[in-house]
Amino acid sequence: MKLWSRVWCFALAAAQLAAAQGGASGGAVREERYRPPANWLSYDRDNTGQRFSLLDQIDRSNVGHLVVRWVHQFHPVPLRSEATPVIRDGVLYATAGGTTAFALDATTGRSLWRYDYPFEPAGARQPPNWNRGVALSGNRVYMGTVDCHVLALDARTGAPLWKYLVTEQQPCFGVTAAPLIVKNRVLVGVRGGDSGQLRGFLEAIDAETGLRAWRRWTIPAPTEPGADTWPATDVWQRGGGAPWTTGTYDPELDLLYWTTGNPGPKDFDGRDREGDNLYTASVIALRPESGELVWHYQFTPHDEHDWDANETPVLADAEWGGRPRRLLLQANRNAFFYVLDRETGEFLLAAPFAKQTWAQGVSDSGRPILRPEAAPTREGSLACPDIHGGTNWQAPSYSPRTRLLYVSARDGCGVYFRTGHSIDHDLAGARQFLRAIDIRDGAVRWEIPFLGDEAQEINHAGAMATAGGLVFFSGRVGNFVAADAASGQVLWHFNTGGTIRASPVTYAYGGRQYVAITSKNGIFAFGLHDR
Amino acid sequence: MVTRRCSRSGLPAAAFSWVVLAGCGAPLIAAADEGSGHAVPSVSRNPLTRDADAVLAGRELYLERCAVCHGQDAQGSMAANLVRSRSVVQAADAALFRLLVQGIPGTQMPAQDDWDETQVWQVVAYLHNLARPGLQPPVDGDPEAGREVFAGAGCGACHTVDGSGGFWGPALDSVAARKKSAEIREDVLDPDARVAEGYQSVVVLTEGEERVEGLLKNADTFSLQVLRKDGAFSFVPRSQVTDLQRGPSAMPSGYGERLTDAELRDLLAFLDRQREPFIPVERGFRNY
Repeated sequence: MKLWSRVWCFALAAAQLAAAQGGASGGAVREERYRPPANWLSYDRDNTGQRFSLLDQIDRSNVGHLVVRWVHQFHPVPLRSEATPVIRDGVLYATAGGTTAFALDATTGRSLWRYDYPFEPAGARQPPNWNRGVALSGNRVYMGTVDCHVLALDARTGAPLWKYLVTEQQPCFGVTAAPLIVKNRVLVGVRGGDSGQLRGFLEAIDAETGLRAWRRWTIPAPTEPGADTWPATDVWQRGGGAPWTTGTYDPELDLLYWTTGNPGPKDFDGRDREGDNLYTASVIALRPESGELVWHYQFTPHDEHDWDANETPVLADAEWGGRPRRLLLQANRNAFFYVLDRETGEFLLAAPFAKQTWAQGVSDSGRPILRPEAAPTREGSLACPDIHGGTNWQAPSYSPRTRLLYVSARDGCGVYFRTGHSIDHDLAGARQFLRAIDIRDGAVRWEIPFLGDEAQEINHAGAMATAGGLVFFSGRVGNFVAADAASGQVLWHFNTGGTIRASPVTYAYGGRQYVAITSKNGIFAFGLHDR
Repeated sequence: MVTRRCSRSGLPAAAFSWVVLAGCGAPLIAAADEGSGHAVPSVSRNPLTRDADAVLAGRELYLERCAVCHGQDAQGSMAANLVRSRSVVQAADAALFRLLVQGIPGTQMPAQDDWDETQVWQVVAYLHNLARPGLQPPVDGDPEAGREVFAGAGCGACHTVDGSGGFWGPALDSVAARKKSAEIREDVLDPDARVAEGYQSVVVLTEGEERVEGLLKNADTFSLQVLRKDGAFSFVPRSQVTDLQRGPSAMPSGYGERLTDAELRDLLAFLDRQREPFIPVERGFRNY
C-alpha cells in the first residue's frame, strides 16, 4: 500500500506539473492553479464547468476492474436523487431529497453528520422535493431549500448557522440548484420559470453573515436596457428567465456566467410578449462583486418551445482561428452547440448536435434563422427537438485532452400547442445518446446510443471526463458506464439498480482514486481493487 | 495523523491545501422592500410560547374553531392528527402562524383570517405545547440573564447557539425541542451520565505509534471516524488500531458547584427557550 501510494503521489505530482505547464500547450487546465486535483470542491468541480479531473489512477487499462468501494443508502428514499457530491480532504458532502444534507467519510461511506431541514409548509402546493447538492467554503456548507431559503451549516457538525429567505413571493418555487461560491458570496438562482408568475433573479448572499449582497433580475424593468424586447405591458413582471441551475466563474476575467430559462408568462404562446424577451434563454456575464451585467448572448430569442438555456456554460481555453482564446461552450436545449468568446460575448460558432427542425441555421451574427412552421399553433405544430430538448440541465463534461464536449443528448420531436402543452411525437422514434462534440467545428465525433429501456426514456444523467482517458456517464435505468474518451468504446458498466438523475464525480484520498455517482437509492463509490 | 494521506508519502502538503477565500469588503447593496402580506407576523418567534395563560386561551380558540375537524384532543378525526402532523411538530412558529391565517388552499382547511395576531399566537402556543413534549414543563428563571451565564461560563466555545459558537459539543439551538427540561438539567450537571451520540471523546493509538485524539463520530467493524480538535477528520482502519481509549465527556463537570443556584436556574431557562436554530437578523429583507 505504501509503495503504491508513493507511486500514485508521484503520478499526481507529475499531473500537477503538467497542469502548471498546461497554458503553453493551450490545454484548459489553468483552473488547477487554484483547485487541488484530489478534491471535487463545487458542483462542477472547479467553477469552470468542465467537470474534467486530472486524476488518472483509474485509466483505460484498468477501468474494467473497477469495484464498488462503498454504498451510502438514503433513508428515506427521495422522490428524485439529483445531487452532485462535493469532496474535500476525504470528506464527502451531499444532499438527499430536498431537505437532508450530510457528510460522509469518502473512503468508507460512513456517516459523519446529518442535518434534516424542517421545511415550512407553504400551503397545498407540493414543493419540489429534490436538490442538486451543496457548496463548500471554509468550515461552512451551503444548501438551497424547497421553501426558497439558503442554509449555512457548520461543515464539521452540520449545525445550522443561518438561513436566508430568497423571496417572500408565494408560492415560491424553491432553490434546487447547488449554490456557487465566488469571492465570499453565495450565489443562487430561483426556479419557477414555467409558472407564469416568476420574474427570474440571481441572488448573492454574503457567505459569512447571511445578508443580501445583491440581486440581478433576469428580466429588465421598463427603464432598463433590454426592456425594449418586451411589450409595453406588465408581462415582464412574469417574464420567467429562471436561472435555476449553477453558474461558472473565470477568476482572471473576474466574470460570472449564469444561464437563464424560458420566457413567460406562457411557455408555448408568445403573442402577449412580442419581442426577443431578454434575458431569457440566454447566458449573462456578471461582475461577482456587484452583479453588474457585462455582456449577454441570447440562444433562443422569443422562445416558444420551453427550451431553457440552463445547460452549463463551460469555460475552456483553446486555439480558435489560429490564436488562443478564452471560450464559453454550451450544448443548448434547442439542439445547437455554441462557442462564444467569454471575454466579450462574441458569437463564434453554432452547430446542431441533436435532431432539430426549428432553425435553418444560425447567422454570422449569432441569431437563429427560424423556420416559421415550427412555431406552436392552436392546432399543434411539429418541431424538433421535443420539449425535453436536445439536452437539458444534466452536466456535460469537457476534456482539454480530447477537445471533446461530452453531452447526454436526445433526438426527439414534439407537437407543440399554443394552449400550453406539447405531445412527444412518435415517442418510439426518440433516442438517447452520449455524444462527443468536437469544439473546433461542432461536429459530433462519435456517439454511444442507449438501447432497450434506456433508448427513449428521458435521461437527466450527466458526464465526467478524466485524465485517465475516460468519460463516465449513465443511462436512465441505472447503468453507470465508462468509455474511452477518445473513441467512445465502452470499457465498463455497472447497474446501480435505481434511476440515475445526477452527474458523476471523482476524487482521491489516501492514495486511492474514487469515482462516485448518486443513484435513486444512494451514492455509489467505485475504485480499483486492493490488489 | 493516521489517515493515509497522500502528503505523507512525499507530495508537498501545499498541493493539497485548500485556500479559503477570505474577506468581504464590498458594501451591501440596499435591498428593495418586498413588502409583507397580512399572513406574516410582526415577529418570527412566538412571543407567547410557554405562557400558560396563552396556552389556555389558545385551547379555548382551538375548541371553538378547530376541534370539530381535528378532534377535542387534536389527535385527529375528520382532519389530521395535529400532535403528530409535520406541519405542527416541525413547523417554525411563523410557518404555523401563516398556515393558520392562510388555511391550506384547495383543502377543507379554511383561513382563520379573522383572528388577530395575539389570538393566532395563542393557538400556535397551544398546538406546539401539545406536539413538542420538550416544551414542558416551563422552566422558571430569566432567560436573558441565562444568556449572560452561557457566555460567561464559556459554553459558546463548544456549543453553537443562534448561529455562532464552537463545534466541539452538540449545537444547542434546538435542544429544547429534542429534550425535556429535566434532561437538559441533567446534561449540564452531570455531563458524563449521557454523552451525546457522536461526541464521545477518544484516543486512538495505531500501528506506527500514531495517536489520534478527538470525538468519535462513527465506528464500525472496520473503521473509525474521528473529528479532531483542528476541525478536520481522521479515518482509521480498525486493522491499524492498537488501542482505543474512551475518555470522559469533553464537557467539563462541576457546573453545579461553579454556578450559583440563581445562575443555574437562569441558564436552564435560557436553554429551555432554544427551540429553533434560526433567529431574525436586522435588515431590509426578511431573514432568519
